Amino acid sequence: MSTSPQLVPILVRARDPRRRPRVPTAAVVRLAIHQHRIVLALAVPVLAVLTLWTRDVAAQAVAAHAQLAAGGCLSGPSAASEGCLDLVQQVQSASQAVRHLQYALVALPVLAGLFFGAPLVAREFEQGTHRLAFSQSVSPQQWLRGQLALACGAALLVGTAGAALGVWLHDAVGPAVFPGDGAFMLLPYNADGPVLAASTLLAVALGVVAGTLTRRTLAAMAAMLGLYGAAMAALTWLRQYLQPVRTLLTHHGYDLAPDDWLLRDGVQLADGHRLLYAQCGPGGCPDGAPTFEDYHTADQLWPMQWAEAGLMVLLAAAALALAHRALRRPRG
Amino acid sequence: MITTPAVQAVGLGVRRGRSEVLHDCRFRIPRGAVCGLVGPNGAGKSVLLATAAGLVAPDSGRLELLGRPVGDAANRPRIAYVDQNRSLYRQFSVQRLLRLGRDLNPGWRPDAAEEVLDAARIPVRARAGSLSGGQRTLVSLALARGKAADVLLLDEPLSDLDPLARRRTMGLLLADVAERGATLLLSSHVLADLEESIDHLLLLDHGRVRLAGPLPELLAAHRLPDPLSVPAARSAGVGAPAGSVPARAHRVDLLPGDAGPDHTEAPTLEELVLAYLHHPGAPDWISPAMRPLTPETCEAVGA
Repeated sequence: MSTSPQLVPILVRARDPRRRPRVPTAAVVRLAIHQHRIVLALAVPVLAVLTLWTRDVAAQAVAAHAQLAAGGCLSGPSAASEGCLDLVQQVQSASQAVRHLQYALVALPVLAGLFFGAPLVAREFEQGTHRLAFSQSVSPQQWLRGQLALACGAALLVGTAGAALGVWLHDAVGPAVFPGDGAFMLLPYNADGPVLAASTLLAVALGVVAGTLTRRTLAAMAAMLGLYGAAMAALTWLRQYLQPVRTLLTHHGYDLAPDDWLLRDGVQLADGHRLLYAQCGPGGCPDGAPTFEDYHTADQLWPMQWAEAGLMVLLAAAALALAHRALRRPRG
Repeated sequence: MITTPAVQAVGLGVRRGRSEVLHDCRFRIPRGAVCGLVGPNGAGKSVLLATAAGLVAPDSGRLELLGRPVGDAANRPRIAYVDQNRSLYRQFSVQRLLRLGRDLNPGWRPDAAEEVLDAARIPVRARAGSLSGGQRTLVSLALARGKAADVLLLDEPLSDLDPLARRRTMGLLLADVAERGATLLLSSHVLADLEESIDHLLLLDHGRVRLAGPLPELLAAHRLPDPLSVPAARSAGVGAPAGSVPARAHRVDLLPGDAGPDHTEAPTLEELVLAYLHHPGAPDWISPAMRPLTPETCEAVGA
């Protein structure tokens, strides 16, 4: 006995010819990690040395200051004694050590840009290995995105580690230890916090874009130095405008805290016109006029740092977008 | 139905600085061809291959692979390229390079890549930088073959291989042509390296396509002057300087139009190529089988 054939609806999905298997981004990133594993591994001992150094310097500074306080040398009659002069010298050498460490911390972004960012793409073209990379099933742009993911990740990690060391140092060695070493001064300012982390990203990004455009490692290094220097100079000038300026009008001298940042001061004339102290004639500033001070307060430090770091991230993003665009079409 | 050609160039020009390395190149390489790309040093062979691989942008004209403009994303998995310098990451081990091929190519065929290396007993743990030139060539060819591409662009693939490795490697590549319908475009400035394997020839000279066609047709279309009449040919002003080439290769003439009774002997491939190179003024000869398909010819063939 036979049954009539039954119709069974089946769904046939036509293969979309435009859909092709894509190379996973993870594979491209894995290639980038393997390529740069040596320079990445180098970052670990460098950061370890910097950490030990920071611990040492911070301890040295705190100890020197504690001795000074214990000896009663901070104020009072014994401050000028022979023993105090010795202790003051110790504090000064600790202050030197802090300065050296801060130099090392601000050098961190420059080194990352020079030896990691600039060669990242440039060396590829210089050694011709881009031919190997670009003849796989990935586009040059997809390949670059893998490299950039690694570069940005590594730069942010290293920059954040450096920034944390800077903050550690900053907290241990505040103005209480070294009066006059305000947090807004260029050196502590650029050597800690979000600014150091973001400037590492910026330096690496500028190195990458220089390398992508010049395709020569040495030229890329030089261009990266120039670009980074210009960017830092511009941002350093700009940072005072990133937070509202506070103004103090008084009839007596300075009222600012040690960590405040005095932008400009002078006298305010009766017509509201302002004269900087330097603009007063040889006869001196007019008597009786109130003095004005434009300044940033210490609590504006971190907002200003975050704002400047944000600008750096934007600049870095623009640089990387330019590099990405440059690889859109092959160039002979 | 006409299958789209593997490679097709229409008026292709590439400049390097102020000089033109490829000039108005017109040709077509059909699917499944094993095409030798020959020409003297500096003829533009490597630039043509790099352009086809999408590494150099054409300055004028069109270059299409598998019916799509060069550099088209859909073609990436379908085209393999080995450059003249065998660019490899020197710090990578052979094993890691093979993994790169597997990771970055969706259609990766591990066995096809390993076959190329196995015969030569290349140590997979060795770093690419420590390999000899021939071994690096084999690693590059393994990467190209593992990609399972439809078109393989190989720049001087045999130049630094020993005779045994040549034979084995060519055997593997030709198997891909036979089994998978792959197309090979191989360059060499030594014709003898290719002669046994190729079925099509493309002769480049100073950036121009001088001669192109399937081998039998090429040879059948040319005749050499009778050795006895060579002095006459020379006195007619078409001869090359005496002593620089074998006397038999002194004249290029086309059949049937031009062949007189004193042109009787079929040339060898080598003689044919040398004759064209010695006569820059001789008209280019492109077989209809290797002329680009224009819309008009498409209609004509389709009708």
